[in-house]
Amino acid sequence: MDIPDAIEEFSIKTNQQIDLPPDPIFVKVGNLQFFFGPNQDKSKKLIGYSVMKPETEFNTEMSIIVRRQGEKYIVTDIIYPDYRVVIDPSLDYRNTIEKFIDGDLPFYITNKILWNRKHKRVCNVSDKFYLILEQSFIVPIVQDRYLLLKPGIAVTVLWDNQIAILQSSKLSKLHKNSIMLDPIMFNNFYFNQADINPLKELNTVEEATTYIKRLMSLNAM
Amino acid sequence: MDLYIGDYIILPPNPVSVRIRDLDLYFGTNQDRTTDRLFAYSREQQRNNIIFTVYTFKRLSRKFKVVNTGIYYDTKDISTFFTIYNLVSIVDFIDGKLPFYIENGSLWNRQHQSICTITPEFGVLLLVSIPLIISPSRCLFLRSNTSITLFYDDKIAVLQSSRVKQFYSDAIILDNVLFTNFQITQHIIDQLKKIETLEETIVYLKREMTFNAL
Repeated sequence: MDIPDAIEEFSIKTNQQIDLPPDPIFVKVGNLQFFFGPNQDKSKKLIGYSVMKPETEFNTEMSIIVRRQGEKYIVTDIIYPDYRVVIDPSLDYRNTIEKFIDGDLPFYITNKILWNRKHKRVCNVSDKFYLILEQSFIVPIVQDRYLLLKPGIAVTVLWDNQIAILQSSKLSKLHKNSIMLDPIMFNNFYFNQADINPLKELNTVEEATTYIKRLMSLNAM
Repeated sequence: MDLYIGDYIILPPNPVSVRIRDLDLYFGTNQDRTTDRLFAYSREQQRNNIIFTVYTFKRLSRKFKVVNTGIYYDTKDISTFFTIYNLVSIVDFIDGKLPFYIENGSLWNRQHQSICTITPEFGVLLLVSIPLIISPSRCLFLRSNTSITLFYDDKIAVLQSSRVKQFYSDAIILDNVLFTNFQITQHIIDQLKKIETLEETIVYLKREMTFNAL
């Protein structure tokens, strides 16, 4: 389905009020079925993607962002699929929306801003940082707390609505608050299950960062 | 330096992410570590492509032997998907997105036991469906207006529309109208969590689908 068809077929417009059942997961919005998934916090804002003709190709879906106002729902954004030639497809942030809704990513990115499961703004994301995040392995700790591992390069700590980035000094800064570490700290750094369990007991992003730095130091010795 | 079939390696206990021979292997946190089989994958960015390499290890006392490897490019093209869906299922299994993986025409559970044989068409359909996790061993796979596949405690059931070709021999064929307006809310997921058997789940879903169609 190309963009004009998708736009033409979808009967809902921006700023339109829509009806949704409580806690929607897989429901009709206008004339199309949308998947909102079970993973996001739906108390104030929801994001869903359409399930149109997935048998033809992936990434043909459009996304909608809906704001909840009491019992009402207002569509605030409609993000259409885009088949224009993108200079670097790996920088297409729309990939994060679908993965987030499916529960495969603990965050999504719109307008170069990283949002968490509760739709709270976490930080700005540069293209370079996005590429590192996209290539990272995701290690869940507990709900809303994750490690994003880009081996040999960076460990990103996503802790509720805070983020800390431990990165190798061989790369330019991924984020203004990046903690720059000697590359030797990332060489041969590994995690096993026993390393992850203590993280479940920690309360703050600072404690988690300190713990990981200590692990990295031990590994480097 | 790469890892090849027949190579032996030593791994730390319960590895999650390990660097071996300059390869960053990801084992994840979801695999059953009590069996002698273990999967890992590495990924590498080459220009605009992400290349996944999947490794299968067999535990031999303290060492692990590489018994299989496979490689694929991340793709958006569903026709290519038919040649790589086995490997994609293993990566999704490692990541904890799937409670099973597909290999040699069979579906395997976390303990690496065969659940059933499946056709390539059914395998691809499962991987392009929307997964809804009910519990670690129970999952629904939704296809808009087409089918609901249930993976429940190592059993499979398929509810599918009469409009499409039968893709599983024991599929329960239902009138297309039941799929057209079917909606799932958190309430339905919560109810599914309380139901004990696959048979009861099928009855419940059929009732909800009928209710939606009225």
